[in-house]
Amino acid sequence: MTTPAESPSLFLFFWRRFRKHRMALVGGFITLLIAVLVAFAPLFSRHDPMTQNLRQRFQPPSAEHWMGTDDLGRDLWARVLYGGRISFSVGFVAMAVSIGLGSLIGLISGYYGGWLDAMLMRITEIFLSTPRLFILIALGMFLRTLDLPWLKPGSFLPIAAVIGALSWMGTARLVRASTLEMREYEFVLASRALGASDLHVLLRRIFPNIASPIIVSATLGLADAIISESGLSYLGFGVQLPTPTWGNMLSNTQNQMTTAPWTAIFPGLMIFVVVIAINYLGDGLRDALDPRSIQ
Amino acid sequence: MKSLKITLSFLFILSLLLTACGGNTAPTAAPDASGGGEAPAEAVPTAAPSGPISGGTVIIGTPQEPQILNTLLSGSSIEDAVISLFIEGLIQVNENGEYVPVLAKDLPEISEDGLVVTYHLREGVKWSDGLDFTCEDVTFTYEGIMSDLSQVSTSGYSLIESIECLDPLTVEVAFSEVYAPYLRLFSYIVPRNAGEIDQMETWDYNQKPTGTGPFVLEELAPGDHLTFVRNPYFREEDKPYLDSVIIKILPSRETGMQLLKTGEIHALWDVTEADFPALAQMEADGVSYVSVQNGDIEQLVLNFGANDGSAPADPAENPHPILYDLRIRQAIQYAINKQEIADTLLYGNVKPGASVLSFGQYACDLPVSEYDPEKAKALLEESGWKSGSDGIREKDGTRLSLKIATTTGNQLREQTEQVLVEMLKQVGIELVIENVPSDVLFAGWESDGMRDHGKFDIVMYTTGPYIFAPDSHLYSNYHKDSIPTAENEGSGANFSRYINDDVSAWIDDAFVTTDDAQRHEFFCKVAEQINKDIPRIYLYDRLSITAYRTEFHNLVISPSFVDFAWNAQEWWLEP
Repeated sequence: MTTPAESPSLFLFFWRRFRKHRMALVGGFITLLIAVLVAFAPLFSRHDPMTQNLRQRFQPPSAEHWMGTDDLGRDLWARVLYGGRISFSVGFVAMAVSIGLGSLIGLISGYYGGWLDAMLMRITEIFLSTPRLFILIALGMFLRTLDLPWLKPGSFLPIAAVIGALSWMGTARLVRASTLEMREYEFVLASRALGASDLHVLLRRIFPNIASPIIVSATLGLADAIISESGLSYLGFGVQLPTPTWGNMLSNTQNQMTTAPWTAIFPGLMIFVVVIAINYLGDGLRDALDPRSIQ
Repeated sequence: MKSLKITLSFLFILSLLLTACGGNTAPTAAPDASGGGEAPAEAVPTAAPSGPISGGTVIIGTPQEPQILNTLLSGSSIEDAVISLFIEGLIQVNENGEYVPVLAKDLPEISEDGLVVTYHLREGVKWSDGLDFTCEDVTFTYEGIMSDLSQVSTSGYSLIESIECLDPLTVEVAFSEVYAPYLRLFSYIVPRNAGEIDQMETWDYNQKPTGTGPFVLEELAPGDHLTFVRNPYFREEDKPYLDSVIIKILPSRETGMQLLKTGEIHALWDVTEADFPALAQMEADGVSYVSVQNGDIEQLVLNFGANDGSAPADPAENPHPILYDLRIRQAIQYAINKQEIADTLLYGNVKPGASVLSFGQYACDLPVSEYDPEKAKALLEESGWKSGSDGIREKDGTRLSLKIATTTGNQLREQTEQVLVEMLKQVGIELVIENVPSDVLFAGWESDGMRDHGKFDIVMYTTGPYIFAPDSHLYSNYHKDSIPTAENEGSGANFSRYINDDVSAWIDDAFVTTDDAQRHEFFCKVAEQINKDIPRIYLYDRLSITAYRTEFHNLVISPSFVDFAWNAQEWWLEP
């Protein structure tokens, strides 16, 4: 039986398995690289992402502006880096919300079963069957009208929370399935027989043992949230200008595809590269963490 | 294995995307009917033929589809423009914004007291079904306009007391009170045999219209195209020059630009100012454009009332905490460099906004507001707004932060907003962009519209006076009786909740004055006072732009959409 990953040798074991997955390794490296670039954006860019220079609009990529300038003469490289911060932040917050909600619902549903399980799963299905984009747009607009004093105007938090709150269903089902399986194991039964509280059993016995599907799900959820945010911002309902995100940088660029293609190519490329890299990373993690694939 | 699966699925998604893009361009292939009139894509006109040539088919693209071809029921500018191919008026407006008689022989006579207007109709005009054009068509059109079913503005027509046919070619119109801009009336005439007025919505005419204009509808393929051919009864011999005009419905304006470049369409309706760089690039491909000012102004509407939705009839009852102070509004205006916006975002193709009436016969000679950030800062200091820790000013714990809203997905507006954010930041005002879809921004009173209920700080959109008769625009946008409230069920467009008794009085005075010089004076007093009170900030004057290929000749456009094709009989095509 696999026990919670506490010994360094276990990490080493996973790492060796993960290392065999070449694409996952590359994906992980690219994700890490871009994450470092955007996290320390000021170190890598000489320009301010917000400073406009209307006399320098649509400059093609050059030594001064590595990715050219956008429709208001702002340095595209700086905007891509700073935009990545928002895109990644939205991704992480949304992922945290969705994993949190999904795990909670999945654990409760799988552990208690019965009518509670039936009810929670029906709710999950209702959420699964609603058209996400429309709800995202409507909720996104509604949350903007609320004047929350602790929230800075134009903050990305509401939109991230909404994305997270609408994408927990996959995780919930996954966690429920694993929990169902886990609660029948002898060590869980033993723990219960010894009089452990439900909370103890759930958090100390079951949760650590289903961590690996959650980790994988979280990784893929991150990519998914970045895509959602991009789509929403592209349509103009996500993070509002002039705060850059990869999505809203793409917005409207179809008009400039022939005159200034770089304004569309670079942000689009970032979304593409990051999402595919994270997907490979998740894929590799799944292979490495899946006990069933151990020979 | 799994990585292969992911790669495959990415390829699949990519191919889906590609087919989706391809799908956009597929249905835009020109119909076979285009015939010999179409020029090959690479043809660059060298020496233009000396004069008009008969024959050929012009294809005009539009991203919007006209739904209804009955003037009385039409609502959109594209419908008005298409209808102008076959419907004419007694008086129309040419490309210079002047009134020209079309179905009338001359401009009408007006009596001494200004109450009776007499039109003499052109002789020998026939409808495209062979029916003679007479005074009865004019009275029929008037009844149609006044019907409850009609969708057109009754402004001006509602003051008509009686309309009489003195003889088949003479119409006498009597007004109950003086209506100074009477020349704008009857810019379209509908045939008397169109049907019963009380069944207007179900007329066969709506799908199979007739007209006195140079062209007549031959084929209507919804979602794809409309084909117009020569009107056999058109009054001028040998005209129109063109055999036919095809209105091609396009999936998007971008597609239209591509088709124009390759020569698959000859003209593209309603191009926007944001397309100027693309147009400049296409000059080498034989593409040109005509633009005309039409009175529309891109503007900021500043809310004098609180933005809590209380919609006060007088903003003094519940004033906006920031914008009610004139000094703040002045500071905002001083901080905006309109010239810079016009020169850069609009490539110098437009004029910075000077006043509500900067163009047309009632244009007022008022200067563009000054750009002076130092004055802006001084005004803000004077009104007690001091710089806070992050450069944004504060007063009694309130941040000098305003929200600006416009329609989502409009690139030029989004660019303008971002430039405004920067300009205002320089003087310590924070502007936060919160855009909404156009149906939310422009929603009416009953659907809790944000403009009507005053739930905004600043909104940005385009509006402007009908330059030949600014009365109704000035009344609905600046008159104190036009403030939308619960009492008047949200009628009126004075969204700023701007009250100035002088302005209201001058608007009323102009309406009942016949003397044009005097009217002009009233209008300019209004415009000047508005510029002092700053309920709105005029950013730049909008243009109506039509792009066309240079082998398509004589396309001149009028500032009014109803008159788009007023000279369509003169259009001709180089083979």
